[in-house]
Amino acid sequence: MVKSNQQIYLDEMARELDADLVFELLQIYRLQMEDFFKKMENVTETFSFQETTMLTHKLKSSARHVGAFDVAERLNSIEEYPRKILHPGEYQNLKQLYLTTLKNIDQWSNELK
Amino acid sequence: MDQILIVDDDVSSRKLARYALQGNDGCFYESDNGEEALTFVLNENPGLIILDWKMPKLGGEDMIHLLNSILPYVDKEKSRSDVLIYSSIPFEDMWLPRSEFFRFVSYVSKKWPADEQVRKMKSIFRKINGQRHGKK
Repeated sequence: MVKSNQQIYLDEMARELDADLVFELLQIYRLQMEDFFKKMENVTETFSFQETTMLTHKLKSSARHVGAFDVAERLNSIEEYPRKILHPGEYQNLKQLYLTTLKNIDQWSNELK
Repeated sequence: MDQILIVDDDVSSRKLARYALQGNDGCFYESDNGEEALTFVLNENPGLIILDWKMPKLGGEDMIHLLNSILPYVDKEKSRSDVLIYSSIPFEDMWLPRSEFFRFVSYVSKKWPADEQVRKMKSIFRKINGQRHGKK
């Protein structure tokens, strides 16, 4: 199997730490991201973006912990300028990056089974 | 080690910190915000605080500032707590408040790979434990 950067990272974490811990971190990442997308789905100009800043700040760490560095980068730029989530394509791009990480995660998990 | 308090709004960071603490003596407590942690510190005076610097309800820096102003009026006999800063904010961008109640022992970046964060935390705990046992 050709491995992505994220899968190589997950391999290393499972080896160096503990596979159960990595699975827990993956589960947290998934739940937090889905919660974030739910919150951001219908955001408009009148939304209080303070919450977006805090959410993206928190999510960045969860994403990094599971090797989702592209997602963390994108969240970082939204944290710096939260209204960016309203820019055309921004939400979709982030979601696309997230879905790619999910694919990596699922492949990696299946490989371990 | 006596009581250890992990203060972080991110559950995955708390999980990693708790994992790194495995095998240590003492009671672990967790809080996801500085407000709640502030009350805990006032009442319990934990030996070690693993502290996130940026949180929605009172970040680590503001929590230390507030405690610095409250503690002199509360109990001057209390021993000081060690503080390990655990944050994604670069250390060079932080301003550590001077304090007679808290000793900043180290910094762990959330930007490091998870295994490196755990290794660094473990080595800090070993060092602190060694210092405490040495004192006894």
